[in-house]
Amino acid sequence: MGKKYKNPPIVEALCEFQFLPNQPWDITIPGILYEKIKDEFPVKQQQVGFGVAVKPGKAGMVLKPEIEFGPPRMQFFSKDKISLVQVGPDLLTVNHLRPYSTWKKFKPLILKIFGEYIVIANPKGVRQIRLRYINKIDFDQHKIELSDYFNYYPSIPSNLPQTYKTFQVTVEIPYNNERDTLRLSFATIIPEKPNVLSLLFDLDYVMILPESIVLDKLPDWLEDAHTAIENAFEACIKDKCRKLFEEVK
Amino acid sequence: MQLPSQEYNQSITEYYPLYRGGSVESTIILPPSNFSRNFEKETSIFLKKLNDIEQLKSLYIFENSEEIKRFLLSHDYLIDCLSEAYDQIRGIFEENLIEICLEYDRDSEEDFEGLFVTIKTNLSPEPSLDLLEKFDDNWWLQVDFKIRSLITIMVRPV
Repeated sequence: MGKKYKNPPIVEALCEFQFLPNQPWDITIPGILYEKIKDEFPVKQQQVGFGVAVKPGKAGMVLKPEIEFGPPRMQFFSKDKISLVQVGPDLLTVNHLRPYSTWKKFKPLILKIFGEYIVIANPKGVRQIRLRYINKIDFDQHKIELSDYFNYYPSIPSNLPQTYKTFQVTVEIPYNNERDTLRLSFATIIPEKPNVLSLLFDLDYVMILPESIVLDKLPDWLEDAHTAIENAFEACIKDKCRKLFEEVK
Repeated sequence: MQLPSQEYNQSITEYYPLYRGGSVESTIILPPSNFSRNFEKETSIFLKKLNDIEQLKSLYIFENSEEIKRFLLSHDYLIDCLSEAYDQIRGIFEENLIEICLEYDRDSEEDFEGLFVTIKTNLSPEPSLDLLEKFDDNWWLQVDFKIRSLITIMVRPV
């Protein structure tokens, strides 16, 4: 059982499944899933992602950015817009935004939505699963000493200036004979308010070997993934950080 | 610490657009496939918002980057509109478009804050204004008033 915080830094928790299809993507799947879950997730929305590609202009000389739109993804939100289900071609995601409740509540929700999807879409298997906890830690000051708060941060050679404005560190740690990987990313991000320092701590546990678990073993995989994330989170923060989150003892 | 070279699969580039924050000013042009992979794959609502703001930097010259980003974080419904606006402006000004600038401004006396889009064109003032009028009639005036009240679009012959 992990530590409990009154003011946890979690801004989003999500579980994502990428499936190996049995047949070409059936566009009626999101609609059928919506019928099954609409009591809990009544607010539907279509999300069209955009990207920017740089292509030569008409004269063939000038490079100009162009908008490219991605395949649409259906999003089904709960009434309070705190949790949602996303469905796209061979993709299912269950997201929980702030305020995050508990793993005891989030895990059954993931399993329930996954169970509904499997019956409807009948995929051949799971290509990838990820359980991800995204944390945002705000400091009401411009400058902090990272080592006071964290055990995980960039290491700068001593003959270089030790003050830096932005950083981004990522490591990938293999788990379970490299079937899974835990990607720990720690970085500065855009603060929402002036005179605030915002840090992003992203813990992303991913099953990277396709079809390496059978579907009925998903509850065990989720439990392992959650334990690994929880342990990593606690290992990376110090008591000064726990004080910010107001640990409940 | 162990880092076996044969097992070192660099993946940090996948994170590039997400976490570039603070005041670092740089433009990194990735091949189109990188962008596609990025926007298709991101399933985090929180990170997608940051990602989309970064993508806008490929379209607009950000005059005061930190302020623009902060404003867009709290008014995220403007993000899609700004990407669509870029497409519409390009479609109308075509080869006469030099660049499009984006600036955040705040007037506390008027109790106003918002974004200013400046279309820089190589046309003289009169045809520039004609094209801006065409842009208004074709698209901008159909955009939700809530969005139009926070974004001002201007044209500047240079």
